[in-house]
Amino acid sequence: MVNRHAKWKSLKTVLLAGAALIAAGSLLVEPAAAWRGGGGFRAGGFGGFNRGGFHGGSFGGDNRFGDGDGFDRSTDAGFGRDGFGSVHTAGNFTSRADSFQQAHPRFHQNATQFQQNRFSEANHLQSNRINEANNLQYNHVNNWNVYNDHWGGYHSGLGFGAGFAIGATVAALPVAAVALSVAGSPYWYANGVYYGAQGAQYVVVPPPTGAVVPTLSPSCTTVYVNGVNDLDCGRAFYVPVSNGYQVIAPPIGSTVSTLPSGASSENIGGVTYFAFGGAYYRPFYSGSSVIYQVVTNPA
Amino acid sequence: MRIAWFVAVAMVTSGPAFAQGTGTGAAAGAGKPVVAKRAEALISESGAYLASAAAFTFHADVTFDHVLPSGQKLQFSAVEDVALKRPDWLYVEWRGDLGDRFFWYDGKTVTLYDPATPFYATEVAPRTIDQMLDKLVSQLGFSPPLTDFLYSDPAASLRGKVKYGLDLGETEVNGKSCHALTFVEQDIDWQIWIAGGPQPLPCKIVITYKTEPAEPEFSAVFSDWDFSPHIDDSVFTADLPPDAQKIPFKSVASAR
Repeated sequence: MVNRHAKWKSLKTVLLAGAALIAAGSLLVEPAAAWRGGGGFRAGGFGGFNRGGFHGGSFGGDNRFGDGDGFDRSTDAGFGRDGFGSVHTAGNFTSRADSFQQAHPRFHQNATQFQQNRFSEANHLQSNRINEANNLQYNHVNNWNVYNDHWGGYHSGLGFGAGFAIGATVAALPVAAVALSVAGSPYWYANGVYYGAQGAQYVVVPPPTGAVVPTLSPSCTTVYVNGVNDLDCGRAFYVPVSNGYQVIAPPIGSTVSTLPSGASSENIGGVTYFAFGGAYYRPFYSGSSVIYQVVTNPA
Repeated sequence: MRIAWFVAVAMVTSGPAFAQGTGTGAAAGAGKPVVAKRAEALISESGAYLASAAAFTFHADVTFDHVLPSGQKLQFSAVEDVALKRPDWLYVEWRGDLGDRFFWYDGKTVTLYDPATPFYATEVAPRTIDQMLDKLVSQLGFSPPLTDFLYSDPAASLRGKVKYGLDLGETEVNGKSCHALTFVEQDIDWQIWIAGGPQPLPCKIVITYKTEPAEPEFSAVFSDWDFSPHIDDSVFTADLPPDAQKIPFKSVASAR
Protein backbone atom coordinates (compact mmCIF):
# COMPACT_ATOMS: atom_id res chain seq x y z
CA MET A 1 0.00 0.00 0.00
CA VAL A 2 1.44 3.27 -1.03
CA ASN A 3 1.77 5.80 1.71
CA ARG A 4 -0.95 8.37 1.26
CA HIS A 5 1.24 11.20 2.39
CA ALA A 6 3.68 10.30 -0.29
CA LYS A 7 0.88 10.34 -2.81
CA TRP A 8 -0.19 13.68 -1.55
CA LYS A 9 3.29 15.09 -1.99
CA SER A 10 3.40 13.84 -5.50
CA LEU A 11 0.13 15.61 -6.12
CA LYS A 12 1.76 18.93 -5.60
CA THR A 13 4.11 18.16 -8.41
CA VAL A 14 1.16 17.34 -10.59
CA LEU A 15 -0.42 20.59 -9.56
CA LEU A 16 2.59 22.57 -10.66
CA ALA A 17 2.57 20.71 -13.92
CA GLY A 18 -1.06 21.59 -14.27
CA ALA A 19 -0.32 25.23 -13.71
CA ALA A 20 2.35 25.07 -16.36
CA LEU A 21 -0.15 23.60 -18.76
CA ILE A 22 -2.52 26.41 -18.03
CA ALA A 23 0.16 28.94 -18.69
CA ALA A 24 0.83 27.24 -21.96
CA GLY A 25 -2.79 27.59 -22.89
CA SER A 26 -3.52 23.92 -22.64
CA LEU A 27 -6.65 22.51 -21.13
CA LEU A 28 -6.93 22.99 -17.44
CA VAL A 29 -5.77 20.13 -15.33
CA GLU A 30 -7.10 19.99 -11.85
CA PRO A 31 -5.55 17.21 -9.85
CA ALA A 32 -8.12 15.39 -7.85
CA ALA A 33 -8.03 16.08 -4.19
CA ALA A 34 -6.55 13.94 -1.50
CA TRP A 35 -6.60 10.19 -1.73
CA ARG A 36 -5.41 8.74 -4.96
CA GLY A 37 -6.37 5.15 -4.55
CA GLY A 38 -3.99 2.42 -3.76
CA GLY A 39 -1.53 3.45 -6.36
CA GLY A 40 -2.22 0.31 -8.27
CA PHE A 41 -3.22 -3.15 -7.31
CA ARG A 42 -1.97 -3.52 -3.82
CA ALA A 43 -0.79 -7.03 -4.36
CA GLY A 44 1.93 -5.75 -6.58
CA GLY A 45 2.82 -7.68 -9.62
CA PHE A 46 0.24 -5.79 -11.58
CA GLY A 47 1.91 -2.84 -13.10
CA GLY A 48 0.46 -0.49 -15.52
CA PHE A 49 -0.55 2.39 -13.33
CA ASN A 50 0.69 5.91 -13.38
CA ARG A 51 1.74 5.84 -16.95
CA GLY A 52 1.64 9.09 -18.74
CA GLY A 53 1.61 12.38 -16.96
CA PHE A 54 -1.93 13.51 -17.50
CA HIS A 55 -4.03 10.94 -15.73
CA GLY A 56 -5.66 11.72 -12.48
CA GLY A 57 -6.48 15.19 -13.57
CA SER A 58 -9.99 16.31 -13.30
CA PHE A 59 -11.99 19.06 -14.79
CA GLY A 60 -14.13 19.04 -11.74
CA GLY A 61 -17.75 19.75 -12.18
CA ASP A 62 -19.68 20.62 -15.22
CA ASN A 63 -20.00 24.13 -16.54
CA ARG A 64 -16.26 24.29 -16.56
CA PHE A 65 -16.27 24.95 -20.24
CA GLY A 66 -18.49 27.91 -19.94
CA ASP A 67 -21.28 26.09 -21.66
CA GLY A 68 -23.32 26.13 -18.51
CA ASP A 69 -25.87 23.84 -19.98
CA GLY A 70 -24.55 21.36 -17.55
CA PHE A 71 -24.39 18.63 -20.10
CA ASP A 72 -25.85 15.81 -18.12
CA ARG A 73 -22.96 13.58 -18.89
CA SER A 74 -20.19 16.03 -18.31
CA THR A 75 -19.67 14.97 -14.75
CA ASP A 76 -19.47 11.27 -15.29
CA ALA A 77 -15.77 11.40 -16.17
CA GLY A 78 -16.52 9.15 -19.09
CA PHE A 79 -17.02 6.31 -16.64
CA GLY A 80 -19.85 4.35 -18.08
CA ARG A 81 -22.90 6.47 -17.46
CA ASP A 82 -25.88 4.58 -18.86
CA GLY A 83 -23.53 1.97 -20.17
CA PHE A 84 -21.28 4.28 -22.16
CA GLY A 85 -18.19 2.48 -23.39
CA SER A 86 -19.67 -0.97 -23.79
CA VAL A 87 -21.25 -2.37 -26.92
CA HIS A 88 -24.12 -4.34 -25.42
CA THR A 89 -25.36 -1.43 -23.32
CA ALA A 90 -25.21 1.15 -26.10
CA GLY A 91 -28.98 1.30 -26.29
CA ASN A 92 -29.23 2.49 -22.71
CA PHE A 93 -26.89 5.32 -23.51
CA THR A 94 -28.36 6.42 -26.81
CA SER A 95 -31.95 6.18 -25.63
CA ARG A 96 -31.32 9.30 -23.63
CA ALA A 97 -30.58 11.38 -26.70
CA ASP A 98 -34.16 12.42 -27.30
CA SER A 99 -34.84 13.54 -23.78
CA PHE A 100 -31.54 15.31 -23.72
CA GLN A 101 -32.32 17.28 -26.83
CA GLN A 102 -35.71 18.20 -25.50
CA ALA A 103 -34.15 19.49 -22.33
CA HIS A 104 -31.60 21.45 -24.30
CA PRO A 105 -33.51 23.16 -27.06
CA ARG A 106 -30.54 25.32 -27.85
CA PHE A 107 -29.13 22.35 -29.65
CA HIS A 108 -31.55 23.18 -32.40
CA GLN A 109 -30.44 26.73 -32.87
CA ASN A 110 -28.89 27.61 -36.14
CA ALA A 111 -25.29 27.06 -37.03
CA THR A 112 -24.35 30.72 -36.87
CA GLN A 113 -25.44 30.91 -33.29
CA PHE A 114 -23.41 27.82 -32.51
CA GLN A 115 -20.37 29.40 -34.01
CA GLN A 116 -20.84 32.57 -32.01
CA ASN A 117 -21.31 30.54 -28.91
CA ARG A 118 -18.04 28.79 -29.52
CA PHE A 119 -16.17 32.04 -29.81
CA SER A 120 -17.67 33.40 -26.63
CA GLU A 121 -16.97 30.13 -24.88
CA ALA A 122 -13.37 30.44 -25.90
CA ASN A 123 -13.16 33.89 -24.42
CA HIS A 124 -14.76 32.72 -21.22
CA LEU A 125 -12.48 29.77 -21.03
CA GLN A 126 -9.47 31.96 -21.29
CA SER A 127 -10.46 34.12 -18.37
CA ASN A 128 -11.76 31.18 -16.40
CA ARG A 129 -8.48 29.39 -16.70
CA ILE A 130 -6.54 32.22 -15.19
CA ASN A 131 -8.94 32.56 -12.32
CA GLU A 132 -9.19 28.87 -11.77
CA ALA A 133 -5.46 28.50 -11.83
CA ASN A 134 -5.14 30.94 -9.00
CA ASN A 135 -7.98 29.33 -7.18
CA LEU A 136 -6.64 25.85 -7.56
CA GLN A 137 -3.22 26.82 -6.35
CA TYR A 138 -4.79 28.07 -3.18
CA ASN A 139 -7.38 25.42 -2.67
CA HIS A 140 -5.25 22.40 -3.17
CA VAL A 141 -3.17 23.33 -0.22
CA ASN A 142 -6.24 22.59 1.84
CA ASN A 143 -7.51 19.12 2.46
CA TRP A 144 -10.79 17.85 1.21
CA ASN A 145 -12.62 18.80 4.36
CA VAL A 146 -13.00 22.16 2.73
CA TYR A 147 -13.22 20.75 -0.73
CA ASN A 148 -16.25 22.85 -1.43
CA ASP A 149 -13.90 25.66 -2.15
CA HIS A 150 -12.42 23.71 -5.02
CA TRP A 151 -15.31 24.77 -7.07
CA GLY A 152 -14.53 28.34 -6.22
CA GLY A 153 -17.76 30.21 -6.33
CA TYR A 154 -19.69 31.04 -9.39
CA HIS A 155 -17.20 29.98 -11.93
CA SER A 156 -19.70 28.55 -14.32
CA GLY A 157 -18.67 30.40 -17.37
CA LEU A 158 -19.02 33.73 -15.72
CA GLY A 159 -16.00 35.41 -17.14
CA PHE A 160 -14.59 37.95 -14.77
CA GLY A 161 -16.24 36.63 -11.66
CA ALA A 162 -15.02 33.13 -12.24
CA GLY A 163 -13.31 31.63 -9.27
CA PHE A 164 -14.48 34.21 -6.78
CA ALA A 165 -15.42 32.48 -3.59
CA ILE A 166 -18.05 33.71 -1.23
CA GLY A 167 -16.32 35.89 1.29
CA ALA A 168 -13.58 37.04 -1.03
CA THR A 169 -12.98 40.75 -0.85
CA VAL A 170 -12.10 43.04 -3.70
CA ALA A 171 -10.85 46.61 -3.52
CA ALA A 172 -12.88 47.76 -6.48
CA LEU A 173 -15.95 46.58 -8.30
CA PRO A 174 -15.81 45.40 -11.88
CA VAL A 175 -16.48 48.12 -14.40
CA ALA A 176 -19.72 46.46 -15.44
CA ALA A 177 -21.13 46.30 -11.91
CA VAL A 178 -24.65 47.56 -11.43
CA ALA A 179 -26.03 48.73 -8.11
CA LEU A 180 -28.94 46.84 -6.58
CA SER A 181 -31.07 47.35 -3.54
CA VAL A 182 -32.41 44.21 -1.92
CA ALA A 183 -34.62 44.56 1.13
CA GLY A 184 -33.07 47.91 1.82
CA SER A 185 -29.46 46.76 1.62
CA PRO A 186 -27.05 47.79 -1.13
CA TYR A 187 -25.58 45.14 -3.40
CA TRP A 188 -23.67 45.18 -6.63
CA TYR A 189 -23.86 42.69 -9.41
CA ALA A 190 -21.50 41.92 -12.26
CA ASN A 191 -21.10 38.87 -14.44
CA GLY A 192 -23.11 36.63 -12.20
CA VAL A 193 -21.29 37.60 -9.00
CA TYR A 194 -22.89 39.55 -6.18
CA TYR A 195 -21.02 41.95 -3.95
CA GLY A 196 -21.90 43.56 -0.67
CA ALA A 197 -20.24 46.49 1.06
CA GLN A 198 -17.63 45.79 3.70
CA GLY A 199 -15.97 48.93 4.97
CA ALA A 200 -14.18 50.52 2.08
CA GLN A 201 -14.10 47.23 0.19
CA TYR A 202 -16.52 44.84 -1.41
CA VAL A 203 -17.17 41.26 -0.41
CA VAL A 204 -18.53 38.49 -2.61
CA VAL A 205 -21.87 37.29 -1.22
CA PRO A 206 -24.34 34.56 -2.10
CA PRO A 207 -27.06 35.61 -4.54
CA PRO A 208 -29.51 37.54 -2.37
CA THR A 209 -32.97 36.08 -2.78
CA GLY A 210 -35.28 38.66 -4.26
CA ALA A 211 -32.60 40.59 -6.14
CA VAL A 212 -33.51 41.58 -9.69
CA VAL A 213 -30.74 41.88 -12.24
CA PRO A 214 -31.01 43.13 -15.82
CA THR A 215 -28.91 40.44 -17.47
CA LEU A 216 -27.76 36.94 -16.74
CA SER A 217 -24.50 35.23 -17.46
CA PRO A 218 -24.46 33.31 -20.75
CA SER A 219 -24.11 30.06 -18.86
CA CYS A 220 -27.61 29.70 -17.54
CA THR A 221 -29.56 26.52 -17.97
CA THR A 222 -33.28 26.25 -18.12
CA VAL A 223 -34.39 23.79 -15.50
CA TYR A 224 -37.80 22.27 -15.17
CA VAL A 225 -38.83 21.80 -11.61
CA ASN A 226 -42.35 20.97 -10.59
CA GLY A 227 -43.61 22.06 -13.97
CA VAL A 228 -42.08 25.54 -13.78
CA ASN A 229 -39.22 26.83 -15.89
CA ASP A 230 -36.42 28.31 -13.85
CA LEU A 231 -32.95 29.35 -14.85
CA ASP A 232 -29.96 27.73 -13.21
CA CYS A 233 -26.95 30.02 -13.42
CA GLY A 234 -24.22 28.34 -11.53
CA ARG A 235 -26.25 27.43 -8.48
CA ALA A 236 -28.12 30.72 -8.51
CA PHE A 237 -31.70 30.22 -9.60
CA TYR A 238 -33.69 32.88 -11.36
CA VAL A 239 -37.13 33.49 -12.73
CA PRO A 240 -37.78 36.04 -15.49
CA VAL A 241 -39.62 39.15 -14.31
CA SER A 242 -40.70 42.25 -16.19
CA ASN A 243 -37.51 44.22 -15.59
CA GLY A 244 -34.97 41.41 -15.63
CA TYR A 245 -34.37 38.24 -13.67
CA GLN A 246 -35.10 37.66 -10.03
CA VAL A 247 -33.10 35.47 -7.67
CA ILE A 248 -35.19 32.75 -6.11
CA ALA A 249 -34.42 30.14 -3.52
CA PRO A 250 -33.19 26.90 -5.11
CA PRO A 251 -36.28 24.90 -6.00
CA ILE A 252 -36.82 21.75 -3.98
CA GLY A 253 -36.01 18.75 -6.10
CA SER A 254 -33.54 20.47 -8.39
CA THR A 255 -30.12 18.92 -8.65
CA VAL A 256 -26.72 20.45 -9.17
CA SER A 257 -23.43 18.78 -9.88
CA THR A 258 -21.37 21.14 -7.77
CA LEU A 259 -22.15 22.78 -4.49
CA PRO A 260 -22.15 26.51 -4.05
CA SER A 261 -18.93 27.70 -2.57
CA GLY A 262 -19.22 28.09 1.15
CA ALA A 263 -21.81 25.39 1.66
CA SER A 264 -21.33 23.86 5.07
CA SER A 265 -21.58 20.16 5.83
CA GLU A 266 -24.12 19.07 8.41
CA ASN A 267 -24.93 15.63 9.73
CA ILE A 268 -28.61 15.40 10.49
CA GLY A 269 -30.00 12.08 11.58
CA GLY A 270 -26.95 10.28 10.25
CA VAL A 271 -27.35 11.78 6.79
CA THR A 272 -24.89 14.22 5.28
CA TYR A 273 -26.39 17.48 4.06
CA PHE A 274 -24.89 20.70 2.86
CA ALA A 275 -26.49 23.97 3.82
CA PHE A 276 -26.17 27.11 1.80
CA GLY A 277 -28.27 30.22 1.48
CA GLY A 278 -31.15 28.67 3.37
CA ALA A 279 -31.23 25.62 1.10
CA TYR A 280 -30.23 22.06 1.96
CA TYR A 281 -28.44 19.82 -0.48
CA ARG A 282 -28.17 16.06 -0.15
CA PRO A 283 -25.41 14.23 -2.02
CA PHE A 284 -26.17 11.15 -4.11
CA TYR A 285 -24.38 9.02 -6.64
CA SER A 286 -26.36 9.46 -9.84
CA GLY A 287 -24.94 7.04 -12.31
CA SER A 288 -21.22 7.22 -11.66
CA SER A 289 -21.17 10.80 -10.42
CA VAL A 290 -21.98 12.67 -7.27
CA ILE A 291 -24.87 15.12 -7.55
CA TYR A 292 -26.57 17.26 -4.94
CA GLN A 293 -30.32 17.50 -4.68
CA VAL A 294 -32.10 20.40 -3.05
CA VAL A 295 -34.29 19.03 -0.29
CA THR A 296 -36.59 20.47 2.32
CA ASN A 297 -34.99 21.49 5.59
CA PRO A 298 -34.29 18.14 7.28
CA ALA A 299 -33.92 19.61 10.73
CA MET B 1 -0.65 -1.00 -42.94
CA ARG B 2 -2.31 -3.48 -45.17
CA ILE B 3 -6.01 -3.91 -45.18
CA ALA B 4 -7.60 -6.33 -47.55
CA TRP B 5 -10.76 -4.74 -48.76
CA PHE B 6 -12.87 -7.73 -49.50
CA VAL B 7 -15.76 -6.19 -47.70
CA ALA B 8 -18.19 -6.38 -50.56
CA VAL B 9 -17.37 -10.01 -51.15
CA ALA B 10 -17.77 -10.79 -47.51
CA MET B 11 -21.16 -9.20 -47.44
CA VAL B 12 -22.40 -11.15 -50.39
CA THR B 13 -21.00 -14.52 -49.44
CA SER B 14 -21.68 -14.48 -45.74
CA GLY B 15 -24.81 -15.84 -44.29
CA PRO B 16 -26.62 -14.85 -41.15
CA ALA B 17 -23.82 -16.07 -38.97
CA PHE B 18 -24.81 -14.37 -35.76
CA ALA B 19 -27.23 -16.07 -33.52
CA GLN B 20 -30.79 -14.95 -33.41
CA GLY B 21 -32.00 -12.71 -30.68
CA THR B 22 -31.09 -9.40 -32.21
CA GLY B 23 -34.04 -8.09 -30.33
CA THR B 24 -35.60 -4.79 -31.09
CA GLY B 25 -32.29 -3.27 -32.04
CA ALA B 26 -32.71 -4.16 -35.70
CA ALA B 27 -34.90 -1.83 -37.68
CA ALA B 28 -38.18 -3.16 -38.90
CA GLY B 29 -37.71 -4.95 -42.16
CA ALA B 30 -33.95 -5.02 -41.79
CA GLY B 31 -34.04 -8.77 -41.81
CA LYS B 32 -31.53 -11.12 -40.30
CA PRO B 33 -28.08 -9.86 -39.38
CA VAL B 34 -25.55 -10.21 -42.14
CA VAL B 35 -22.11 -10.90 -40.79
CA ALA B 36 -19.00 -12.06 -42.59
CA LYS B 37 -18.11 -15.58 -41.52
CA ARG B 38 -14.57 -14.56 -40.70
CA ALA B 39 -15.84 -11.73 -38.50
CA GLU B 40 -18.20 -14.06 -36.67
CA ALA B 41 -15.47 -16.63 -36.22
CA LEU B 42 -13.03 -14.13 -34.77
CA ILE B 43 -15.60 -12.75 -32.33
CA SER B 44 -16.40 -16.30 -31.22
CA GLU B 45 -12.74 -17.29 -30.85
CA SER B 46 -11.86 -14.18 -28.91
CA GLY B 47 -14.91 -14.53 -26.69
CA ALA B 48 -14.17 -18.16 -26.00
CA TYR B 49 -10.59 -17.38 -25.08
CA LEU B 50 -11.63 -14.74 -22.55
CA ALA B 51 -14.40 -16.97 -21.24
CA SER B 52 -11.96 -19.81 -20.57
CA ALA B 53 -9.87 -17.73 -18.17
CA ALA B 54 -10.37 -18.05 -14.44
CA ALA B 55 -8.83 -14.65 -13.89
CA PHE B 56 -7.24 -11.88 -15.89
CA THR B 57 -6.05 -8.33 -15.75
CA PHE B 58 -5.68 -5.82 -18.54
CA HIS B 59 -4.94 -2.20 -19.19
CA ALA B 60 -6.75 0.05 -21.64
CA ASP B 61 -5.81 3.46 -22.97
CA VAL B 62 -9.11 5.18 -23.59
CA THR B 63 -10.23 8.24 -25.49
CA PHE B 64 -13.79 9.48 -25.41
CA ASP B 65 -15.65 12.45 -26.80
CA HIS B 66 -17.63 15.06 -25.02
CA VAL B 67 -19.99 17.29 -26.98
CA LEU B 68 -20.66 20.80 -25.81
CA PRO B 69 -24.13 22.24 -26.26
CA SER B 70 -22.64 24.41 -29.01
CA GLY B 71 -21.94 21.22 -30.94
CA GLN B 72 -18.21 21.38 -30.40
CA LYS B 73 -16.71 17.95 -29.85
CA LEU B 74 -13.88 17.56 -27.37
CA GLN B 75 -11.78 14.47 -26.91
CA PHE B 76 -10.53 13.32 -23.53
CA SER B 77 -8.34 10.50 -22.33
CA ALA B 78 -8.41 8.00 -19.53
CA VAL B 79 -6.68 4.80 -18.51
CA GLU B 80 -8.68 1.84 -17.26
CA ASP B 81 -7.20 -1.06 -15.34
CA VAL B 82 -9.28 -4.13 -14.73
CA ALA B 83 -8.78 -7.16 -12.50
CA LEU B 84 -11.27 -9.99 -12.75
CA LYS B 85 -11.51 -13.29 -10.90
CA ARG B 86 -14.38 -15.55 -11.77
CA PRO B 87 -16.99 -16.01 -10.69
CA ASP B 88 -17.54 -13.06 -8.42
CA TRP B 89 -14.65 -10.63 -8.07
CA LEU B 90 -14.03 -7.50 -10.11
CA TYR B 91 -12.01 -4.36 -9.62
CA VAL B 92 -11.91 -1.44 -12.05
CA GLU B 93 -9.72 1.60 -11.72
CA TRP B 94 -10.31 4.58 -14.01
CA ARG B 95 -8.08 7.62 -14.15
CA GLY B 96 -8.92 10.26 -16.69
CA ASP B 97 -8.94 13.85 -17.78
CA LEU B 98 -12.43 14.34 -16.37
CA GLY B 99 -11.90 12.49 -13.14
CA ASP B 100 -11.18 9.15 -11.58
CA ARG B 101 -13.40 6.31 -10.40
CA PHE B 102 -12.81 3.18 -8.37
CA PHE B 103 -15.17 0.26 -8.57
CA TRP B 104 -15.16 -2.88 -6.43
CA TYR B 105 -17.26 -6.01 -6.57
CA ASP B 106 -16.65 -8.75 -4.01
CA GLY B 107 -19.51 -11.10 -4.77
CA LYS B 108 -21.77 -9.41 -2.25
CA THR B 109 -21.69 -5.68 -2.87
CA VAL B 110 -20.59 -3.14 -5.43
CA THR B 111 -18.87 0.04 -4.29
CA LEU B 112 -18.22 3.16 -6.32
CA TYR B 113 -15.88 5.94 -5.24
CA ASP B 114 -15.01 9.25 -6.86
CA PRO B 115 -11.79 10.34 -5.14
CA ALA B 116 -12.44 13.99 -5.96
CA THR B 117 -15.24 13.83 -3.41
CA PRO B 118 -15.42 12.50 0.15
CA PHE B 119 -18.27 10.22 -0.89
CA TYR B 120 -18.72 6.60 -1.87
CA ALA B 121 -21.78 4.48 -2.46
CA THR B 122 -22.36 0.80 -1.83
CA GLU B 123 -25.20 -1.44 -2.90
CA VAL B 124 -25.99 -5.11 -2.48
CA ALA B 125 -25.14 -7.01 -5.64
CA PRO B 126 -25.98 -10.37 -7.19
CA ARG B 127 -23.63 -13.29 -6.76
CA THR B 128 -22.04 -13.48 -10.18
CA ILE B 129 -20.23 -11.00 -12.36
CA ASP B 130 -22.77 -11.45 -15.18
CA GLN B 131 -25.78 -10.78 -12.97
CA MET B 132 -24.02 -7.91 -11.27
CA LEU B 133 -23.13 -6.23 -14.56
CA ASP B 134 -26.70 -6.56 -15.76
CA LYS B 135 -27.94 -4.90 -12.62
CA LEU B 136 -25.55 -1.99 -12.81
CA VAL B 137 -26.91 -0.26 -15.88
CA SER B 138 -30.55 -1.04 -15.30
CA GLN B 139 -30.64 -0.20 -11.61
CA LEU B 140 -27.72 2.08 -10.85
CA GLY B 141 -27.42 3.86 -14.18
CA PHE B 142 -23.81 3.11 -14.95
CA SER B 143 -21.35 0.34 -15.59
CA PRO B 144 -17.60 0.43 -15.97
CA PRO B 145 -16.61 0.88 -19.60
CA LEU B 146 -15.57 -2.25 -21.52
CA THR B 147 -17.89 -4.58 -19.63
CA ASP B 148 -18.50 -6.57 -22.81
CA PHE B 149 -15.23 -8.33 -22.15
CA LEU B 150 -16.05 -9.16 -18.53
CA TYR B 151 -19.05 -11.39 -19.16
CA SER B 152 -18.79 -15.15 -19.04
CA ASP B 153 -19.75 -15.14 -22.74
CA PRO B 154 -18.17 -12.00 -24.24
CA ALA B 155 -19.12 -12.98 -27.80
CA ALA B 156 -22.79 -13.04 -26.89
CA SER B 157 -22.49 -9.65 -25.29
CA LEU B 158 -20.85 -8.19 -28.38
CA ARG B 159 -23.03 -9.72 -31.05
CA GLY B 160 -26.38 -8.98 -29.45
CA LYS B 161 -27.75 -6.28 -31.74
CA VAL B 162 -25.49 -6.46 -34.76
CA LYS B 163 -27.08 -5.91 -38.15
CA TYR B 164 -24.01 -6.08 -40.38
CA GLY B 165 -20.51 -7.29 -39.70
CA LEU B 166 -17.51 -7.02 -41.96
CA ASP B 167 -13.94 -8.27 -41.92
CA LEU B 168 -11.52 -5.58 -43.06
CA GLY B 169 -8.43 -7.72 -42.95
CA GLU B 170 -5.22 -7.40 -40.99
CA THR B 171 -3.62 -4.27 -39.70
CA GLU B 172 -1.31 -3.33 -36.89
CA VAL B 173 -2.20 -2.02 -33.45
CA ASN B 174 0.73 -1.08 -31.24
CA GLY B 175 3.02 -3.12 -33.47
CA LYS B 176 0.90 -6.26 -33.21
CA SER B 177 -0.92 -7.77 -36.14
CA CYS B 178 -4.66 -7.67 -35.52
CA HIS B 179 -7.77 -8.44 -37.55
CA ALA B 180 -9.91 -5.38 -38.10
CA LEU B 181 -13.65 -6.02 -37.91
CA THR B 182 -16.47 -3.54 -38.19
CA PHE B 183 -20.09 -3.86 -37.12
CA VAL B 184 -23.23 -1.85 -37.67
CA GLU B 185 -26.08 -1.58 -35.21
CA GLN B 186 -29.06 0.70 -35.15
CA ASP B 187 -27.67 3.11 -32.59
CA ILE B 188 -23.95 2.53 -32.86
CA ASP B 189 -21.25 1.47 -35.23
CA TRP B 190 -18.34 -0.33 -33.65
CA GLN B 191 -15.00 -1.66 -34.71
CA ILE B 192 -12.84 -4.21 -33.02
CA TRP B 193 -9.32 -5.38 -33.67
CA ILE B 194 -8.52 -8.94 -32.60
CA ALA B 195 -4.99 -10.28 -32.36
CA GLY B 196 -3.83 -13.03 -34.64
CA GLY B 197 -1.99 -16.06 -33.31
CA PRO B 198 -2.78 -18.38 -30.40
CA GLN B 199 -4.18 -15.62 -28.20
CA PRO B 200 -7.08 -13.99 -30.06
CA LEU B 201 -7.31 -11.06 -27.67
CA PRO B 202 -8.94 -7.71 -28.29
CA CYS B 203 -6.32 -5.18 -29.44
CA LYS B 204 -8.64 -2.22 -29.74
CA ILE B 205 -12.28 -1.23 -29.86
CA VAL B 206 -14.03 1.89 -31.17
CA ILE B 207 -17.71 2.68 -30.55
CA THR B 208 -19.41 5.46 -32.51
CA TYR B 209 -22.69 6.70 -31.03
CA LYS B 210 -24.18 7.71 -34.33
CA THR B 211 -27.60 8.74 -33.05
CA GLU B 212 -26.11 11.11 -30.50
CA PRO B 213 -25.48 14.77 -31.37
CA ALA B 214 -22.10 15.14 -33.09
CA GLU B 215 -21.65 11.34 -33.01
CA PRO B 216 -19.26 10.99 -30.09
CA GLU B 217 -16.83 8.09 -30.03
CA PHE B 218 -15.31 5.89 -27.37
CA SER B 219 -12.10 4.06 -28.11
CA ALA B 220 -9.87 1.76 -26.09
CA VAL B 221 -6.51 0.25 -26.95
CA PHE B 222 -5.82 -2.84 -24.87
CA SER B 223 -2.49 -3.90 -23.45
CA ASP B 224 -0.93 -5.96 -20.67
CA TRP B 225 -3.35 -8.85 -20.85
CA ASP B 226 -2.36 -11.25 -18.07
CA PHE B 227 -4.14 -14.56 -17.64
CA SER B 228 -2.16 -15.78 -14.63
CA PRO B 229 -2.14 -12.64 -12.56
CA HIS B 230 -1.10 -12.42 -8.95
CA ILE B 231 -3.82 -10.34 -7.39
CA ASP B 232 -4.24 -10.07 -3.67
CA ASP B 233 -7.78 -10.83 -2.54
CA SER B 234 -7.94 -7.47 -0.81
CA VAL B 235 -7.88 -5.77 -4.20
CA PHE B 236 -11.55 -6.66 -4.55
CA THR B 237 -12.54 -5.11 -1.25
CA ALA B 238 -13.32 -1.41 -1.19
CA ASP B 239 -10.28 0.54 -0.03
CA LEU B 240 -11.50 3.95 1.09
CA PRO B 241 -10.07 6.83 3.06
CA PRO B 242 -10.95 6.43 6.74
CA ASP B 243 -13.15 9.50 6.73
CA ALA B 244 -14.99 8.77 3.52
CA GLN B 245 -18.75 9.13 3.86
CA LYS B 246 -21.32 6.75 2.48
CA ILE B 247 -24.13 8.24 0.42
CA PRO B 248 -26.91 6.46 -1.50
CA PHE B 249 -27.20 5.75 -5.17
CA LYS B 250 -29.86 8.16 -6.37
CA SER B 251 -31.88 5.61 -8.29
CA VAL B 252 -31.95 3.27 -5.33
CA ALA B 253 -32.96 6.02 -2.94
CA SER B 254 -35.74 7.10 -5.28
CA ALA B 255 -37.14 3.62 -5.46
CA ARG B 256 -37.44 3.25 -1.73
